[in-house]
Amino acid sequence: MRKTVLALFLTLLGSLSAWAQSETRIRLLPDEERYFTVGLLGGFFFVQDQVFRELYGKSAPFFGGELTLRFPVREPHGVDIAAGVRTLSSKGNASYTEEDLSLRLTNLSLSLRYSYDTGRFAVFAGPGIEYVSYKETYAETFPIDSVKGSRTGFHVTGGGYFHLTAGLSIKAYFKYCRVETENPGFPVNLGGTEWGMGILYRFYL
Amino acid sequence: MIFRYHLRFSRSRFGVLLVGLIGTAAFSFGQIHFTEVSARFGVRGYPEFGGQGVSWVDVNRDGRIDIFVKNRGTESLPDVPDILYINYGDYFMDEAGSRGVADAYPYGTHGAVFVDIDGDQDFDLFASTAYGGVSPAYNHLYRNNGNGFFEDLTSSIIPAQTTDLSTRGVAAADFDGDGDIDLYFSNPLPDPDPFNPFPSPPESLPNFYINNGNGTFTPDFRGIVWTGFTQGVTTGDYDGDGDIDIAQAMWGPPSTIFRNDGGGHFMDVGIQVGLPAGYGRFDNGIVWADLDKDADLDLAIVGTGRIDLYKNTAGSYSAYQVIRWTRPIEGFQVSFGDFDNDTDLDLYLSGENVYENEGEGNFTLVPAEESGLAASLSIAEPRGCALADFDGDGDLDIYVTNETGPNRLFRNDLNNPDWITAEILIDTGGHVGGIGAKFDLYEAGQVGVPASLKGHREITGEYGYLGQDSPIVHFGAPAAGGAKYDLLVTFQDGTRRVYGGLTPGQKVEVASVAPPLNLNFKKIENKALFFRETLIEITWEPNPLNDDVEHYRVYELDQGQSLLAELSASDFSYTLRNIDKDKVYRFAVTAVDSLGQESEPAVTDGNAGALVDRSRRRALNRTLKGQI
Repeated sequence: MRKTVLALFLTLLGSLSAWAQSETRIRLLPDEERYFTVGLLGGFFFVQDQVFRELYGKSAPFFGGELTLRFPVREPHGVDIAAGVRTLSSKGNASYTEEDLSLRLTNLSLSLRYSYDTGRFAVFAGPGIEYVSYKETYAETFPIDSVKGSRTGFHVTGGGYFHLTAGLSIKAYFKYCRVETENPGFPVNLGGTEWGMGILYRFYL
Repeated sequence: MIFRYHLRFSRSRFGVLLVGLIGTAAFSFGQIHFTEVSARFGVRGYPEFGGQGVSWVDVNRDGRIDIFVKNRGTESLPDVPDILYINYGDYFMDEAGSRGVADAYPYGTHGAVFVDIDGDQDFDLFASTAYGGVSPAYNHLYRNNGNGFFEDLTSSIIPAQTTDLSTRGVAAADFDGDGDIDLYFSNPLPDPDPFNPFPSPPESLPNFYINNGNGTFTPDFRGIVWTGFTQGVTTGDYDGDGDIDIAQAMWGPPSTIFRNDGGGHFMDVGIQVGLPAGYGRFDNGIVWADLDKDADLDLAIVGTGRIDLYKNTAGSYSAYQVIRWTRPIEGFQVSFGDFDNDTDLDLYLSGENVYENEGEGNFTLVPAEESGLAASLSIAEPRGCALADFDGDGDLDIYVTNETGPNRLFRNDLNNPDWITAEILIDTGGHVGGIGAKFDLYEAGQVGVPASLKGHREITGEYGYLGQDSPIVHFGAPAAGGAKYDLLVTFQDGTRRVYGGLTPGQKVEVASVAPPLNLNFKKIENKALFFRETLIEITWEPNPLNDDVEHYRVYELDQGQSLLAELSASDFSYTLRNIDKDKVYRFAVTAVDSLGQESEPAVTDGNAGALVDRSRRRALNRTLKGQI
């Protein structure tokens, strides 16, 4: 996971370098164009659940991808529909016995965002729904092998794009999601704050 | 006038009070005094006949010492059951019939000894039969089922009894040193003539039941030739070589000692060690005890109107005092106990009186008006007697049988704190009672220093004439000056345990393997993100008395006990996973030594306290699956 984030970061640095060497332009994107982006994301997820923090640490890295469809309303205003997937895995220890634990969380998200795109940069914000699939796997000495399940919640997200070229942008964002479950017989809060960056390639429709 | 009346009344009361105070002070300063309480406790036996011997033993292991009275019948009324008085604290109740030990032979019982034959930590009964003209007259073995109810296993474990027997004294000990209890019985023939001093020829008859270790016994002859009518029998390690020797009182031939060669074979060494060689005495009782506090067994032989006391010096005996009395009784039994808690052993002659030890084994009669034993002097035909602290007040009480009248229980009125008692809960052979074990009480910090020895005891079964003391060893241990004591226990196999820093008034529970200490358990919540379990962690500490623990056993006590785990000697905790957090649990942990002996359990009280939500990180020294 850290390698993925590092690769994204290096890609981002390369892109910035390419942009710095190119001819400076005020506006890179054409007006009133609908476009579709495909992006790779990475970052850190800061978990709210106290037990999670105790067992796995305060944060965990993730990587994922995102598809965004932008509908210009009246430039620079527009509406984005975004679908994303994110996965994180983490290793920890049971609270008393210190036996090995392994957790995988996979999030699917669907967002409806307002976006303001100047052609050089854009900002966006909006709500969405979040679907979380979880699986926790235990050491052989544990009384059970694993627990898995899923739960739906919601999120709000916000961030910005910086257009490097007409087709390439970088993105930074945060997302707060709230997903709670009592399926195990006690409450578990799978929500938290996600801070991430990414790089996107744009296709004009 | 009124004033004078009250003054006179007060003086009268003051006098009574003064006498009481003086009496109490006298007792508390160690004067020997007894009160006859047999009627009060309902232990007088049959009113006109029967009593031959007595054993003090806690048959139902309730902590109260019971009484077994060995009775014999007469020509006119042969069927006289034995009596088992169960101690209920304030009173005794005869339950011999319902508990299965009333009798199996019309003419009753003479010798009988309670001993843990099968190593299940209760007292079984080996009861002899005195032939009375009715065949068969066999000895019997009764197995205690653990709760004081007995099962007659004679036919299954003592096979091939084909001869009627006239047994008097019996003995029980691990004679061959193989870890199990063997049995010896006197007069292995049907109808010997007790008054023939020269039976001819001596007969080599099987008079041992050798324990095969598997619940069966083999009748065997082990060198004790029948040479004449035998009365009381006793056991002890008179020569300090670690094995159990036998002494027996004889009619006709001289009373003698049989030395064990270590393998359970015996040789008559009476004359060799200095006992008289003359024929014609009628000795009834024989007792080994350390009368001069030099850690060896001195000897008392009683009969024919005298007690002969012999001092033991390196395994040889020399006569040093003869005690005679004026009452027209033959003299059947003497018992030695520290009646005044001054550390030396005093002497009680059944049906007579107490003699106080002056410190070096010389005895002086305590007049009846001081000793309170006038009722003892009225016993018409005294037989066996035995000692025990039946009321748990730290002094030794006396029960005396009477062949032609009611038996007597004498309560010791000493009631001072100058005592230490010890009971073997389990010895290295797995037996309760610890027959063959030796106890040496020293001043604290002086173990092994002869001048600091305050008392030496050896656990025996029957002794004297058909008496058996409680297996709870009693020492006088003066508390003056804040004195403390160390107790050295030597089991028959030579294993030693030292219980240090004992305070007077303390009872020591001795075990070859002592239970672990500081047993505790906690309920702890162990958390994963999506799974929560309550686990129980049981912890204990090793007992410093143990030097041979091989493993620990962990039990759950829940309508019985179930073994949870057997752990190595280096483990001091055990964890149960995923338990019901609302259930009340109780656990026991025992230590097991290399011989397989298991200690008494250390038991939790069932209160684990609040659930501990212990956050990281404390490693377990054991994970749990697959350990049982």
